[in-house]
Amino acid sequence: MITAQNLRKVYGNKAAVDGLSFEVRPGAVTGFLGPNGAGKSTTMRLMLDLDHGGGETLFDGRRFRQIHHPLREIGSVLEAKAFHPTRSARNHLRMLAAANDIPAQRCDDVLEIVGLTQVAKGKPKSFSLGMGQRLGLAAALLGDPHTLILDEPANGLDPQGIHWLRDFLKSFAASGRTVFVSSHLLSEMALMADELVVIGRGRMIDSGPVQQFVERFSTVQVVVRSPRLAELVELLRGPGVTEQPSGDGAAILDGVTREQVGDLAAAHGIALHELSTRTASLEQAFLEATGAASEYRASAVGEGVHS
Amino acid sequence: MRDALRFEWVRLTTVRSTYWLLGMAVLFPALLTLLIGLVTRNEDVTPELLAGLITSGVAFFPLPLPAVLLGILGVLAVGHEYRHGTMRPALTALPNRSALAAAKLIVIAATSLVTALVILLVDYALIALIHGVPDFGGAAVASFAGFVVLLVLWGVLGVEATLLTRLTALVLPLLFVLPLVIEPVLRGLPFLIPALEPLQPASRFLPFTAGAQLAQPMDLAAVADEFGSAGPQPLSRAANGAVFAAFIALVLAPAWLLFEKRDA
Repeated sequence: MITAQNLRKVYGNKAAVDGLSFEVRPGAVTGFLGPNGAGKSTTMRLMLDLDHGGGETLFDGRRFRQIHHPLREIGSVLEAKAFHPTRSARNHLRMLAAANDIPAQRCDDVLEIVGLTQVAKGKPKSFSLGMGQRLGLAAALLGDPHTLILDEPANGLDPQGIHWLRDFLKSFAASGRTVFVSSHLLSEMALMADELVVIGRGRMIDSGPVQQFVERFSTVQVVVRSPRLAELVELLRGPGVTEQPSGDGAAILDGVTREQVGDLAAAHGIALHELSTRTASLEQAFLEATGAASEYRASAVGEGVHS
Repeated sequence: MRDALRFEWVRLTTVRSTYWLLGMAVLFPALLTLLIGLVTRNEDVTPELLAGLITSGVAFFPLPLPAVLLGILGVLAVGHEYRHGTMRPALTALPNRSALAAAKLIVIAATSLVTALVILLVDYALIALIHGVPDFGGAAVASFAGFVVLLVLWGVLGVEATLLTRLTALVLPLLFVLPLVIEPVLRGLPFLIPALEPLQPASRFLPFTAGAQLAQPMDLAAVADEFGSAGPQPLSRAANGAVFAAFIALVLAPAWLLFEKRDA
Protein backbone atom coordinates (compact mmCIF):
# COMPACT_ATOMS: atom_id res chain seq x y z
CA MET A 1 0.00 0.00 0.00
CA ILE A 2 1.31 3.42 -0.96
CA THR A 3 0.09 6.37 1.08
CA ALA A 4 1.03 9.83 -0.21
CA GLN A 5 0.28 12.60 2.25
CA ASN A 6 0.22 16.30 1.42
CA LEU A 7 2.97 16.14 -1.22
CA ARG A 8 4.20 19.57 -2.16
CA LYS A 9 6.94 20.90 -4.39
CA VAL A 10 7.55 24.54 -5.21
CA TYR A 11 9.83 25.90 -7.93
CA GLY A 12 10.41 29.58 -7.28
CA ASN A 13 6.99 30.90 -6.44
CA LYS A 14 5.12 28.29 -8.46
CA ALA A 15 3.74 25.14 -6.87
CA ALA A 16 4.36 22.19 -9.18
CA VAL A 17 2.73 19.82 -6.70
CA ASP A 18 0.32 21.36 -4.27
CA GLY A 19 -0.86 19.31 -1.31
CA LEU A 20 -1.45 16.00 -3.06
CA SER A 21 -2.74 13.12 -0.95
CA PHE A 22 -3.83 9.76 -2.29
CA GLU A 23 -3.58 6.04 -1.72
CA VAL A 24 -2.53 3.31 -4.10
CA ARG A 25 -3.78 -0.08 -3.04
CA PRO A 26 -2.35 -3.48 -3.90
CA GLY A 27 -4.14 -5.82 -6.26
CA ALA A 28 -5.01 -3.08 -8.75
CA VAL A 29 -3.41 -1.05 -11.50
CA THR A 30 -3.70 2.59 -10.49
CA GLY A 31 -3.38 5.04 -13.34
CA PHE A 32 -1.90 8.47 -12.75
CA LEU A 33 -3.43 10.98 -15.12
CA GLY A 34 -2.97 14.65 -15.73
CA PRO A 35 -2.31 17.05 -18.57
CA ASN A 36 1.25 17.99 -19.55
CA GLY A 37 2.89 19.94 -16.74
CA ALA A 38 0.36 18.74 -14.17
CA GLY A 39 3.15 17.51 -11.89
CA LYS A 40 2.98 13.73 -12.46
CA SER A 41 6.72 13.15 -12.84
CA THR A 42 7.53 15.54 -9.99
CA THR A 43 5.07 13.65 -7.78
CA MET A 44 6.74 10.34 -8.59
CA ARG A 45 10.18 11.78 -7.83
CA LEU A 46 8.86 13.12 -4.51
CA MET A 47 7.43 9.70 -3.70
CA LEU A 48 10.84 8.11 -4.26
CA ASP A 49 12.69 10.77 -2.24
CA LEU A 50 14.60 11.85 -5.36
CA ASP A 51 13.27 15.40 -5.07
CA HIS A 52 13.03 17.29 -1.84
CA GLY A 53 9.67 18.79 -1.01
CA GLY A 54 6.87 18.80 1.51
CA GLY A 55 4.75 15.87 2.68
CA GLU A 56 5.68 12.23 2.71
CA THR A 57 4.99 8.98 0.94
CA LEU A 58 4.83 5.77 2.92
CA PHE A 59 5.32 2.35 1.39
CA ASP A 60 3.69 -0.05 3.84
CA GLY A 61 4.37 2.52 6.53
CA ARG A 62 7.98 3.39 5.62
CA ARG A 63 9.60 6.24 3.70
CA PHE A 64 11.46 5.11 0.57
CA ARG A 65 14.83 6.07 2.00
CA GLN A 66 14.22 3.91 5.07
CA ILE A 67 13.96 0.74 2.99
CA HIS A 68 17.18 -1.28 3.19
CA HIS A 69 17.19 -2.88 -0.28
CA PRO A 70 14.58 -0.81 -2.10
CA LEU A 71 14.82 -2.66 -5.42
CA ARG A 72 13.61 -5.76 -3.62
CA GLU A 73 10.40 -3.94 -2.70
CA ILE A 74 9.82 -1.09 -5.13
CA GLY A 75 10.75 -1.05 -8.80
CA SER A 76 10.55 2.18 -10.74
CA VAL A 77 11.01 3.56 -14.22
CA LEU A 78 11.14 7.34 -14.35
CA GLU A 79 12.91 7.93 -17.66
CA ALA A 80 13.35 5.95 -20.83
CA LYS A 81 16.95 5.42 -21.89
CA ALA A 82 18.50 6.11 -18.49
CA PHE A 83 21.66 4.11 -19.13
CA HIS A 84 25.24 4.64 -20.24
CA PRO A 85 25.41 4.21 -24.02
CA THR A 86 28.37 1.82 -24.01
CA ARG A 87 27.62 -0.20 -20.88
CA SER A 88 25.86 -3.36 -22.00
CA ALA A 89 22.26 -3.95 -20.95
CA ARG A 90 23.35 -6.86 -18.77
CA ASN A 91 26.09 -4.84 -17.10
CA HIS A 92 23.64 -1.99 -16.48
CA LEU A 93 21.44 -4.45 -14.60
CA ARG A 94 24.43 -6.06 -12.85
CA MET A 95 25.40 -2.63 -11.54
CA LEU A 96 21.95 -2.02 -10.03
CA ALA A 97 21.71 -5.62 -8.79
CA ALA A 98 25.04 -5.20 -6.97
CA ALA A 99 23.56 -2.28 -5.04
CA ASN A 100 20.81 -4.47 -3.58
CA ASP A 101 22.63 -7.78 -3.22
CA ILE A 102 20.62 -9.37 -6.02
CA PRO A 103 22.22 -12.39 -7.74
CA ALA A 104 23.59 -11.72 -11.25
CA GLN A 105 21.47 -14.61 -12.59
CA ARG A 106 18.39 -12.46 -11.98
CA CYS A 107 19.70 -10.00 -14.62
CA ASP A 108 19.36 -12.68 -17.28
CA ASP A 109 15.92 -13.62 -15.97
CA VAL A 110 14.51 -10.09 -16.21
CA LEU A 111 16.11 -9.52 -19.62
CA GLU A 112 14.21 -12.59 -20.79
CA ILE A 113 10.97 -11.33 -19.23
CA VAL A 114 11.18 -8.05 -21.16
CA GLY A 115 12.43 -9.72 -24.35
CA LEU A 116 15.94 -8.26 -24.48
CA THR A 117 17.98 -11.45 -24.11
CA GLN A 118 19.33 -11.18 -27.63
CA VAL A 119 20.80 -7.74 -27.02
CA ALA A 120 21.92 -8.38 -23.43
CA LYS A 121 25.58 -7.97 -24.26
CA GLY A 122 25.14 -5.25 -26.85
CA LYS A 123 25.78 -1.58 -26.29
CA PRO A 124 22.47 0.15 -25.69
CA LYS A 125 23.43 3.31 -27.57
CA SER A 126 21.57 1.95 -30.57
CA PHE A 127 18.47 1.01 -28.55
CA SER A 128 15.18 2.45 -29.70
CA LEU A 129 12.98 4.29 -27.21
CA GLY A 130 10.91 1.15 -26.81
CA MET A 131 13.97 -1.01 -26.10
CA GLY A 132 15.09 1.61 -23.58
CA GLN A 133 11.71 1.33 -21.87
CA ARG A 134 12.05 -2.44 -21.75
CA LEU A 135 15.50 -2.15 -20.19
CA GLY A 136 14.11 0.29 -17.64
CA LEU A 137 11.33 -2.15 -16.83
CA ALA A 138 13.87 -4.97 -16.51
CA ALA A 139 15.73 -2.84 -13.95
CA ALA A 140 12.47 -2.20 -12.09
CA LEU A 141 11.78 -5.95 -11.93
CA LEU A 142 15.30 -6.90 -10.78
CA GLY A 143 14.43 -7.35 -7.13
CA ASP A 144 11.07 -9.04 -7.81
CA PRO A 145 9.37 -6.09 -6.06
CA HIS A 146 5.82 -5.92 -4.70
CA THR A 147 5.35 -2.38 -6.03
CA LEU A 148 5.98 -0.80 -9.43
CA ILE A 149 6.07 2.96 -10.04
CA LEU A 150 6.23 3.70 -13.75
CA ASP A 151 6.28 7.06 -15.48
CA GLU A 152 4.93 6.81 -19.03
CA PRO A 153 6.22 3.25 -19.56
CA ALA A 154 4.33 2.84 -22.84
CA ASN A 155 6.17 5.72 -24.50
CA GLY A 156 7.97 4.46 -27.57
CA LEU A 157 6.58 0.94 -27.38
CA ASP A 158 5.12 -0.55 -30.54
CA PRO A 159 1.52 -1.89 -30.45
CA GLN A 160 2.74 -5.39 -29.54
CA GLY A 161 4.88 -3.88 -26.80
CA ILE A 162 1.96 -1.89 -25.42
CA HIS A 163 -0.22 -4.98 -25.46
CA TRP A 164 2.48 -6.95 -23.68
CA LEU A 165 2.95 -4.19 -21.09
CA ARG A 166 -0.78 -4.01 -20.42
CA ASP A 167 -1.06 -7.75 -19.90
CA PHE A 168 2.07 -7.80 -17.78
CA LEU A 169 0.96 -5.01 -15.46
CA LYS A 170 -2.55 -6.43 -15.12
CA SER A 171 -1.22 -9.84 -14.16
CA PHE A 172 1.36 -8.22 -11.85
CA ALA A 173 -1.45 -6.43 -10.04
CA ALA A 174 -3.68 -9.51 -10.12
CA SER A 175 -1.07 -11.34 -8.07
CA GLY A 176 -1.78 -8.92 -5.22
CA ARG A 177 0.97 -6.45 -5.99
CA THR A 178 0.80 -2.68 -6.47
CA VAL A 179 1.12 -0.81 -9.75
CA PHE A 180 1.16 2.99 -10.00
CA VAL A 181 1.55 4.03 -13.61
CA SER A 182 1.30 7.36 -15.39
CA SER A 183 0.41 7.61 -19.02
CA HIS A 184 -0.93 10.12 -21.47
CA LEU A 185 -2.37 7.31 -23.59
CA LEU A 186 -5.90 7.48 -22.25
CA SER A 187 -7.20 4.67 -24.40
CA GLU A 188 -4.45 2.49 -22.99
CA MET A 189 -5.21 3.60 -19.47
CA ALA A 190 -8.88 2.80 -20.02
CA LEU A 191 -7.94 -0.78 -20.84
CA MET A 192 -5.34 -1.17 -18.12
CA ALA A 193 -6.25 0.81 -15.01
CA ASP A 194 -8.65 -0.22 -12.29
CA GLU A 195 -8.23 2.95 -10.27
CA LEU A 196 -7.25 6.49 -11.16
CA VAL A 197 -5.51 9.40 -9.55
CA VAL A 198 -6.15 12.48 -11.68
CA ILE A 199 -4.31 15.74 -11.09
CA GLY A 200 -4.16 19.12 -12.75
CA ARG A 201 -1.74 21.95 -11.99
CA GLY A 202 -0.31 19.92 -9.13
CA ARG A 203 -3.67 19.54 -7.40
CA MET A 204 -5.95 16.58 -6.95
CA ILE A 205 -8.91 16.47 -9.32
CA ASP A 206 -10.23 13.03 -8.53
CA SER A 207 -9.24 9.59 -7.36
CA GLY A 208 -11.07 6.31 -7.29
CA PRO A 209 -12.28 3.56 -9.64
CA VAL A 210 -12.11 4.35 -13.37
CA GLN A 211 -15.86 3.87 -13.85
CA GLN A 212 -16.65 6.25 -11.01
CA PHE A 213 -14.40 8.88 -12.60
CA VAL A 214 -16.07 8.48 -15.99
CA GLU A 215 -19.51 8.76 -14.47
CA ARG A 216 -18.59 11.77 -12.36
CA PHE A 217 -17.05 13.78 -15.15
CA SER A 218 -19.30 12.92 -18.02
CA THR A 219 -23.00 12.93 -18.73
CA VAL A 220 -24.91 10.06 -20.27
CA GLN A 221 -26.52 11.20 -23.51
CA VAL A 222 -29.64 9.80 -25.13
CA VAL A 223 -29.69 9.24 -28.87
CA VAL A 224 -33.13 9.21 -30.42
CA ARG A 225 -34.28 8.75 -34.01
CA SER A 226 -37.88 9.10 -35.13
CA PRO A 227 -39.91 10.11 -38.21
CA ARG A 228 -41.52 12.77 -35.93
CA LEU A 229 -38.22 13.83 -34.36
CA ALA A 230 -38.87 17.58 -34.32
CA GLU A 231 -42.20 17.09 -32.55
CA LEU A 232 -40.68 14.73 -30.00
CA VAL A 233 -37.76 17.08 -29.26
CA GLU A 234 -40.20 19.94 -28.79
CA LEU A 235 -42.16 17.86 -26.27
CA LEU A 236 -38.91 17.01 -24.39
CA ARG A 237 -37.75 20.61 -24.07
CA GLY A 238 -37.56 21.80 -20.51
CA PRO A 239 -35.14 23.03 -17.86
CA GLY A 240 -31.77 21.27 -18.09
CA VAL A 241 -32.54 19.45 -21.31
CA THR A 242 -30.32 20.33 -24.25
CA GLU A 243 -30.13 18.99 -27.75
CA GLN A 244 -26.98 18.58 -29.76
CA PRO A 245 -27.32 18.59 -33.49
CA SER A 246 -26.63 15.36 -35.29
CA GLY A 247 -26.23 15.28 -39.01
CA ASP A 248 -27.76 11.85 -39.57
CA GLY A 249 -31.38 12.48 -38.64
CA ALA A 250 -30.94 11.69 -34.94
CA ALA A 251 -31.03 13.93 -31.90
CA ILE A 252 -28.53 13.69 -29.05
CA LEU A 253 -30.09 14.79 -25.79
CA ASP A 254 -28.53 15.78 -22.48
CA GLY A 255 -30.46 16.09 -19.24
CA VAL A 256 -33.01 13.42 -19.93
CA THR A 257 -33.08 9.65 -19.43
CA ARG A 258 -33.84 6.98 -21.99
CA GLU A 259 -36.90 5.95 -20.00
CA GLN A 260 -38.32 9.48 -19.99
CA VAL A 261 -37.94 9.72 -23.79
CA GLY A 262 -39.55 6.31 -24.35
CA ASP A 263 -42.46 7.05 -22.04
CA LEU A 264 -43.14 10.43 -23.63
CA ALA A 265 -43.00 9.00 -27.14
CA ALA A 266 -45.42 6.22 -26.19
CA ALA A 267 -47.79 8.68 -24.53
CA HIS A 268 -48.00 10.72 -27.75
CA GLY A 269 -47.96 7.76 -30.12
CA ILE A 270 -44.68 8.72 -31.69
CA ALA A 271 -42.82 5.88 -33.35
CA LEU A 272 -39.16 5.51 -32.46
CA HIS A 273 -36.53 4.10 -34.84
CA GLU A 274 -33.70 4.35 -32.32
CA LEU A 275 -33.49 4.96 -28.59
CA SER A 276 -30.07 4.42 -27.08
CA THR A 277 -27.63 5.91 -24.59
CA ARG A 278 -24.10 7.06 -25.26
CA THR A 279 -21.64 6.89 -22.36
CA ALA A 280 -18.58 9.11 -22.47
CA SER A 281 -15.15 7.53 -22.82
CA LEU A 282 -12.34 7.97 -20.31
CA GLU A 283 -10.85 10.48 -22.70
CA GLN A 284 -13.99 12.60 -22.71
CA ALA A 285 -14.19 12.41 -18.94
CA PHE A 286 -10.50 13.32 -18.65
CA LEU A 287 -10.90 16.32 -20.95
CA GLU A 288 -13.93 17.42 -19.00
CA ALA A 289 -12.18 16.99 -15.64
CA THR A 290 -8.88 18.61 -16.55
CA GLY A 291 -10.01 21.20 -19.05
CA ALA A 292 -9.54 24.09 -16.67
CA ALA A 293 -6.36 22.64 -15.20
CA SER A 294 -4.30 22.32 -18.38
CA GLU A 295 -0.98 24.08 -18.05
CA TYR A 296 -0.22 24.15 -21.76
CA ARG A 297 -3.05 24.33 -24.25
CA ALA A 298 -2.76 24.51 -28.03
CA SER A 299 -5.26 26.50 -30.04
CA ALA A 300 -8.11 24.70 -31.72
CA VAL A 301 -7.64 23.63 -35.32
CA GLY A 302 -7.96 26.68 -37.52
CA GLU A 303 -7.77 29.07 -34.58
CA GLY A 304 -5.01 31.59 -35.04
CA VAL A 305 -4.36 30.53 -38.63
CA HIS A 306 -4.69 33.43 -41.01
CA SER A 307 -4.55 33.21 -44.74
CA MET B 1 28.01 0.91 2.59
CA ARG B 2 29.12 -2.43 1.17
CA ASP B 3 26.24 -2.33 -1.32
CA ALA B 4 27.27 1.14 -2.47
CA LEU B 5 30.89 0.04 -2.88
CA ARG B 6 29.79 -2.99 -4.94
CA PHE B 7 27.60 -0.77 -7.12
CA GLU B 8 30.40 1.71 -7.69
CA TRP B 9 32.93 -1.00 -8.49
CA VAL B 10 30.66 -2.55 -11.14
CA ARG B 11 29.90 0.93 -12.49
CA LEU B 12 33.61 1.76 -12.79
CA THR B 13 34.64 -1.52 -14.36
CA THR B 14 31.86 -1.70 -16.96
CA VAL B 15 32.69 1.41 -18.97
CA ARG B 16 35.48 1.57 -21.52
CA SER B 17 36.63 5.05 -20.56
CA THR B 18 37.96 3.63 -17.28
CA TYR B 19 40.38 1.36 -19.12
CA TRP B 20 41.42 4.09 -21.56
CA LEU B 21 42.17 6.54 -18.77
CA LEU B 22 44.02 4.06 -16.57
CA GLY B 23 45.94 2.73 -19.57
CA MET B 24 47.03 6.24 -20.55
CA ALA B 25 47.89 7.12 -16.94
CA VAL B 26 50.38 4.21 -16.89
CA LEU B 27 51.53 4.28 -20.51
CA PHE B 28 52.34 7.96 -21.00
CA PRO B 29 54.70 8.26 -17.99
CA ALA B 30 56.29 4.93 -18.96
CA LEU B 31 56.97 6.22 -22.49
CA LEU B 32 58.38 9.45 -21.08
CA THR B 33 60.60 7.56 -18.65
CA LEU B 34 61.74 5.22 -21.40
CA LEU B 35 62.51 8.08 -23.78
CA ILE B 36 64.43 10.27 -21.33
CA GLY B 37 66.05 7.24 -19.73
CA LEU B 38 67.42 6.09 -23.10
CA VAL B 39 68.58 9.57 -24.10
CA THR B 40 70.46 9.97 -20.83
CA ARG B 41 71.66 6.37 -20.50
CA ASN B 42 75.32 7.29 -20.95
CA GLU B 43 75.18 10.35 -18.73
CA ASP B 44 75.69 10.73 -15.03
CA VAL B 45 72.16 11.42 -13.86
CA THR B 46 71.51 12.21 -10.20
CA PRO B 47 69.24 9.86 -8.24
CA GLU B 48 66.93 12.83 -7.60
CA LEU B 49 66.36 13.36 -11.31
CA LEU B 50 65.79 9.65 -11.80
CA ALA B 51 63.24 9.81 -8.98
CA GLY B 52 61.68 12.76 -10.79
CA LEU B 53 61.28 10.56 -13.86
CA ILE B 54 59.77 7.72 -11.85
CA THR B 55 57.21 10.15 -10.45
CA SER B 56 56.33 11.21 -14.01
CA GLY B 57 57.94 14.61 -13.55
CA VAL B 58 54.82 15.90 -11.83
CA ALA B 59 56.91 18.18 -9.60
CA PHE B 60 58.55 19.79 -12.62
CA PHE B 61 55.89 19.99 -15.34
CA PRO B 62 52.98 22.42 -14.91
CA LEU B 63 50.50 19.69 -15.90
CA PRO B 64 50.79 16.50 -13.81
CA LEU B 65 49.44 14.26 -16.57
CA PRO B 66 48.74 10.99 -14.69
CA ALA B 67 47.13 13.01 -11.89
CA VAL B 68 44.91 14.84 -14.38
CA LEU B 69 43.88 11.54 -15.98
CA LEU B 70 42.83 10.21 -12.57
CA GLY B 71 41.03 13.49 -11.97
CA ILE B 72 39.09 12.86 -15.17
CA LEU B 73 38.29 9.35 -13.93
CA GLY B 74 36.82 11.00 -10.83
CA VAL B 75 34.86 13.51 -12.91
CA LEU B 76 33.31 10.73 -15.00
CA ALA B 77 32.38 8.75 -11.85
CA VAL B 78 29.75 11.42 -11.23
CA GLY B 79 29.49 13.14 -14.61
CA HIS B 80 28.46 9.99 -16.49
CA GLU B 81 25.64 9.46 -14.01
CA TYR B 82 24.15 12.90 -14.57
CA ARG B 83 24.83 12.99 -18.31
CA HIS B 84 23.24 9.63 -19.06
CA GLY B 85 20.44 9.87 -16.51
CA THR B 86 21.63 6.99 -14.32
CA MET B 87 21.83 9.04 -11.12
CA ARG B 88 18.10 8.58 -10.47
CA PRO B 89 18.14 4.80 -11.00
CA ALA B 90 21.24 4.70 -8.80
CA LEU B 91 19.45 6.57 -6.04
CA THR B 92 16.37 4.38 -6.30
CA ALA B 93 18.70 1.45 -5.63
CA LEU B 94 20.78 3.31 -3.03
CA PRO B 95 18.66 6.03 -1.40
CA ASN B 96 21.41 6.80 1.14
CA ARG B 97 23.14 9.60 -0.76
CA SER B 98 26.05 9.86 1.68
CA ALA B 99 26.80 6.18 1.16
CA LEU B 100 26.78 6.63 -2.62
CA ALA B 101 29.02 9.72 -2.47
CA ALA B 102 31.40 7.98 -0.05
CA ALA B 103 31.51 4.88 -2.26
CA LYS B 104 32.44 6.97 -5.29
CA LEU B 105 35.20 8.74 -3.36
CA ILE B 106 36.57 5.52 -1.87
CA VAL B 107 36.54 3.52 -5.11
CA ILE B 108 38.16 6.31 -7.12
CA ALA B 109 40.71 6.96 -4.35
CA ALA B 110 41.57 3.25 -4.16
CA THR B 111 41.84 2.99 -7.95
CA SER B 112 44.07 6.07 -8.00
CA LEU B 113 46.25 4.59 -5.27
CA VAL B 114 46.74 1.31 -7.13
CA THR B 115 47.37 3.15 -10.40
CA ALA B 116 49.99 5.36 -8.73
CA LEU B 117 51.75 2.28 -7.36
CA VAL B 118 51.67 0.63 -10.80
CA ILE B 119 53.14 3.78 -12.39
CA LEU B 120 55.93 3.83 -9.79
CA LEU B 121 56.68 0.14 -10.25
CA VAL B 122 56.73 0.27 -14.06
CA ASP B 123 58.87 3.42 -14.18
CA TYR B 124 61.21 2.15 -11.46
CA ALA B 125 61.70 -1.04 -13.44
CA LEU B 126 62.45 0.94 -16.60
CA ILE B 127 64.98 3.16 -14.82
CA ALA B 128 66.59 0.15 -13.15
CA LEU B 129 66.91 -1.54 -16.56
CA ILE B 130 68.46 1.48 -18.22
CA HIS B 131 70.48 3.12 -15.46
CA GLY B 132 70.83 0.31 -12.93
CA VAL B 133 69.29 0.41 -9.46
CA PRO B 134 69.69 3.99 -8.22
CA ASP B 135 70.72 4.81 -4.66
CA PHE B 136 67.82 7.03 -3.69
CA GLY B 137 68.10 9.48 -0.79
CA GLY B 138 65.40 10.22 1.78
CA ALA B 139 63.79 13.05 -0.22
CA ALA B 140 63.50 10.89 -3.34
CA VAL B 141 61.91 8.02 -1.43
CA ALA B 142 59.51 10.44 0.23
CA SER B 143 58.61 11.81 -3.21
CA PHE B 144 57.29 8.36 -4.15
CA ALA B 145 54.89 8.44 -1.21
CA GLY B 146 54.01 12.04 -2.07
CA PHE B 147 53.29 11.00 -5.67
CA VAL B 148 50.81 8.37 -4.47
CA VAL B 149 49.08 10.87 -2.18
CA LEU B 150 48.96 13.45 -4.99
CA LEU B 151 47.28 11.07 -7.43
CA VAL B 152 44.77 9.90 -4.82
CA LEU B 153 43.86 13.53 -4.02
CA TRP B 154 43.42 14.35 -7.72
CA GLY B 155 41.04 11.41 -8.13
CA VAL B 156 39.05 12.63 -5.12
CA LEU B 157 39.08 16.17 -6.50
CA GLY B 158 37.50 14.99 -9.77
CA VAL B 159 34.65 13.27 -7.91
CA GLU B 160 33.90 16.08 -5.50
CA ALA B 161 34.17 18.91 -8.05
CA THR B 162 31.56 17.16 -10.21
CA LEU B 163 29.36 16.41 -7.21
CA LEU B 164 29.52 20.13 -6.48
CA THR B 165 28.76 21.44 -9.97
CA ARG B 166 27.16 18.45 -11.78
CA LEU B 167 28.83 19.98 -14.84
CA THR B 168 31.38 17.73 -16.51
CA ALA B 169 31.85 20.32 -19.22
CA LEU B 170 32.93 22.87 -16.61
CA VAL B 171 35.08 20.68 -14.39
CA LEU B 172 37.08 18.93 -17.13
CA PRO B 173 38.56 22.15 -18.59
CA LEU B 174 39.19 23.48 -15.07
CA LEU B 175 41.37 20.46 -14.29
CA PHE B 176 43.67 21.61 -17.10
CA VAL B 177 43.30 25.37 -16.86
CA LEU B 178 43.85 25.77 -13.11
CA PRO B 179 47.29 24.12 -12.85
CA LEU B 180 48.40 24.96 -16.38
CA VAL B 181 47.29 28.59 -16.74
CA ILE B 182 45.67 30.17 -13.70
CA GLU B 183 48.23 29.27 -11.04
CA PRO B 184 51.32 30.02 -13.19
CA VAL B 185 49.82 33.43 -13.96
CA LEU B 186 49.10 34.07 -10.27
CA ARG B 187 52.65 33.00 -9.38
CA GLY B 188 54.08 35.32 -12.01
CA LEU B 189 52.05 38.42 -11.14
CA PRO B 190 54.23 39.51 -8.15
CA PHE B 191 57.25 39.52 -10.47
CA LEU B 192 55.45 41.56 -13.12
CA ILE B 193 53.65 44.05 -10.89
CA PRO B 194 55.89 45.54 -8.17
CA ALA B 195 52.93 46.46 -6.00
CA LEU B 196 52.07 42.77 -5.69
CA GLU B 197 55.59 41.74 -4.66
CA PRO B 198 54.70 41.37 -0.96
CA LEU B 199 52.24 38.67 -2.02
CA GLN B 200 54.95 36.48 -3.50
CA PRO B 201 55.28 34.21 -0.41
CA ALA B 202 51.54 33.52 -0.67
CA SER B 203 52.03 31.85 -4.05
CA ARG B 204 53.42 28.83 -2.17
CA PHE B 205 49.89 28.25 -0.93
CA LEU B 206 48.31 27.92 -4.36
CA PRO B 207 46.77 24.44 -4.11
CA PHE B 208 47.95 22.86 -7.35
CA THR B 209 51.43 24.38 -6.99
CA ALA B 210 51.67 23.00 -3.45
CA GLY B 211 50.18 19.67 -4.48
CA ALA B 212 52.77 19.10 -7.20
CA GLN B 213 55.51 19.61 -4.63
CA LEU B 214 54.27 16.50 -2.82
CA ALA B 215 56.27 14.56 -5.41
CA GLN B 216 59.32 16.87 -5.35
CA PRO B 217 62.35 14.52 -5.34
CA MET B 218 64.74 17.21 -4.11
CA ASP B 219 64.91 18.65 -0.62
CA LEU B 220 64.29 22.24 -1.70
CA ALA B 221 64.60 23.62 1.84
CA ALA B 222 68.09 22.10 2.15
CA VAL B 223 69.01 23.43 -1.30
CA ALA B 224 67.83 26.92 -0.29
CA ASP B 225 69.85 26.72 2.95
CA GLU B 226 72.97 25.62 1.12
CA PHE B 227 72.91 27.96 -1.81
CA GLY B 228 70.77 30.76 -0.41
CA SER B 229 67.53 31.92 -1.88
CA ALA B 230 66.09 35.36 -2.50
CA GLY B 231 62.56 34.05 -2.26
CA PRO B 232 60.61 32.77 0.72
CA GLN B 233 61.55 29.48 2.37
CA PRO B 234 59.94 26.56 0.46
CA LEU B 235 57.20 24.70 2.28
CA SER B 236 57.98 21.25 3.61
CA ARG B 237 56.44 18.23 1.86
CA ALA B 238 54.00 17.81 4.75
CA ALA B 239 52.99 21.48 4.55
CA ASN B 240 52.50 21.24 0.78
CA GLY B 241 50.39 18.14 1.32
CA ALA B 242 48.37 19.94 3.97
CA VAL B 243 47.71 22.88 1.60
CA PHE B 244 46.45 20.62 -1.20
CA ALA B 245 44.46 18.44 1.22
CA ALA B 246 42.88 21.55 2.75
CA PHE B 247 41.81 22.65 -0.74
CA ILE B 248 40.31 19.20 -1.37
CA ALA B 249 38.47 19.38 1.96
CA LEU B 250 37.24 22.88 1.14
CA VAL B 251 35.62 21.65 -2.07
CA LEU B 252 34.36 18.44 -0.48
CA ALA B 253 32.26 20.05 2.25
CA PRO B 254 29.83 21.99 -0.01
CA ALA B 255 29.87 19.20 -2.61
CA TRP B 256 28.68 16.66 -0.04
CA LEU B 257 26.11 19.03 1.39
CA LEU B 258 24.66 19.90 -2.02
CA PHE B 259 24.55 16.27 -3.13
CA GLU B 260 22.51 15.51 -0.01
CA LYS B 261 20.19 18.48 -0.29
CA ARG B 262 19.38 19.06 -3.92
CA ASP B 263 17.01 17.21 -6.20
CA ALA B 264 18.44 14.23 -8.04
